[in-house]
Amino acid sequence: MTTSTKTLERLQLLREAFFEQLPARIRKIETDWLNLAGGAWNNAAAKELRFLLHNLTGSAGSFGLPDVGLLARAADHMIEALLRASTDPTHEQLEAMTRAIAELQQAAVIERPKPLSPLVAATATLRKLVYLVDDDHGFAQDLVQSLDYFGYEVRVFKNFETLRPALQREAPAAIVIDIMFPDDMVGTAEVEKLRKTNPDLPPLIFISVRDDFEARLGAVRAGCSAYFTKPIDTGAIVDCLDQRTRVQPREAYRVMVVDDSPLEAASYALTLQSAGIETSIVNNPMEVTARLADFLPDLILMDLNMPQCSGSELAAAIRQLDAYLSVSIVFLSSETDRDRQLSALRDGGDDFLTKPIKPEHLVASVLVRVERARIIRSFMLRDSLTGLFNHTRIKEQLATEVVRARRSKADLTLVMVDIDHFKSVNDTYGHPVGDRVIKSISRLLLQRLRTTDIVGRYGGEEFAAILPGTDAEQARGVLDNIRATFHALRHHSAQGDFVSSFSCGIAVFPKFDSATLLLDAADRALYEAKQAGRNRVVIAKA
Amino acid sequence: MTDSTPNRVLYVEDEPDIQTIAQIALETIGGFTVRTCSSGHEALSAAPGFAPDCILLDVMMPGMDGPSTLAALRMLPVCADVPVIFITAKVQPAEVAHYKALGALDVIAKPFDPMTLAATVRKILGTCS
Repeated sequence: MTTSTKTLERLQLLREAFFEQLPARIRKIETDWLNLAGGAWNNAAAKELRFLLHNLTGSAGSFGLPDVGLLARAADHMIEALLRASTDPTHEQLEAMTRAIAELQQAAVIERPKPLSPLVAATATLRKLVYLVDDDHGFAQDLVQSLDYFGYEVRVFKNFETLRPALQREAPAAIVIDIMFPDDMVGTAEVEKLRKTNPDLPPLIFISVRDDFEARLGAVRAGCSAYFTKPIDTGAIVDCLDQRTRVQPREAYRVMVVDDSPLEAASYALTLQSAGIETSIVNNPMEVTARLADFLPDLILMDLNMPQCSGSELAAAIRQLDAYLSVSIVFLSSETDRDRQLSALRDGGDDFLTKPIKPEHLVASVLVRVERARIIRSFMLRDSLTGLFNHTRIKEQLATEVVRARRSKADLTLVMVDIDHFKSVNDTYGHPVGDRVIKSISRLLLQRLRTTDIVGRYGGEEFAAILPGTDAEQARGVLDNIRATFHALRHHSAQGDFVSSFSCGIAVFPKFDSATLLLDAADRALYEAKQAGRNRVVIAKA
Repeated sequence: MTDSTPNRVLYVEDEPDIQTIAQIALETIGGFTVRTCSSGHEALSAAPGFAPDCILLDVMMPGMDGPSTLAALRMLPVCADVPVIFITAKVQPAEVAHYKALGALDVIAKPFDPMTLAATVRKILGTCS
């Protein structure tokens, strides 16, 4: 189904019209509530107000104002409860309702209609398909809703009979199975039957009430790749799905090829490229250190005998640069003398490959090294709880991106995010729950931002994101969306469910034209957002 | 598109904004023929002449609400077997179960995305190719 530009324009106009008459609607809600709360309680008037709120709940999101919709929903729930109660509302209830309406009013002032933008459309197409086989309707509904927030489109099947034809039509990224089988052999047998007709089943995730080893073993034998027991932690399932369904390849591996013979260098580079590795060729070893910062290789493949300087000298020089300590250095040479090979390794090389080398051997040796180098690097650069870049790395990256933006005269946005009242989350619900909140926001940021954006954990409950090629308004749209989603997420804890929110400051290059200025400005905007009542996005002014 | 494809949608909704956006979503994007009604009473008088293939019903409307409109529509011969989908902001599992028990084919959550509303309706009707 294609949608013409005309239709998009009409929808856009409707959004704008809705947005224009929104203040009048909110004013009516406010005055009606003030009248209701100020005088004697009047059920008929309360019912009327409820209609106003309810309509807004159902419509605002369709007109690109999800936040207004969510806050209207909260107020709607409250007044519904007041209407259901047999006694008149208490003073506290009235106050809570007044606050809810004030929040709604504020959101209506702040929120701008989301443009029907390509950015939004792009994230929509990234949604991954998951099949859920579930005979528990209520449970399925809850799970579908939670997974939906995290970008999974879930289709529910009551049993394996209905699942089978769907699998033929379209293969999902994963299958989640939650079925109360009379005994576990039935479940295993069903999955085996399924495997006969569909040999390439996607990852299977089991949800079960049983936690004994026998049940787990049965699931393993049926080929399930993860096993969860009820009551489930939705976050854990999302984590698992993220891991098992990662479709986008990670950032391509980068190898720098240093060889004074242009022809040989090009041939090695081509071999590596055929394995999906990005390459950069340097023919003059004297230029290597200058080129490192631009290319940031995971591995340097170098010839040993070169006219300007030898490979071992070059390796020793690179090893004096702390920033490239995690870069692997592999020599590739026709040198067959073992003593001389070892002496080259002593100077800073990690491995020695002998020419001539079969292309598949070259690729295999390089891949093994690069993977290891990446893992070590990730320990150095990534936050252990969230897997995001750490404070040091995000600052380095910001400096690099500012240089790049200046060179290409492109926009660049720095975003700072800080969870609201995080200390009280930790104090009230405990640190493990706090950690889960941190993980859920990092997951949202990773999922909603583009793969080209850089996301890091800047401090305890503070996050930073670098959005290349994005202006302040675009960034606000995206971040506001993430903010609304995060605010709608329910976190579970032994003390009950709760919701959390975050405040966000945005600073844009070149208005602030260095890494330090950007960090300062974003920080100030974040502070402003906190001062203005939290749970909002503020753009830094010059 | 063959003649047997459900094509005529009766949409009952009291909110004019939602009516407009749904009409674009269903007609322009989805290719349906749409008749909107602002109340249950209007739906009852419009249904026989329009002969809908499918009825979309807002649940919470002043006066006659969605469920009572459904009950009244069912008494009209032309609507006795027409699939009905509720459109509502209340989609807690228990509420959805309740609507289905009343005879609704399914429930669409508000706010809906105008870009995908028609596809959702077709999917529910089982005619999505």
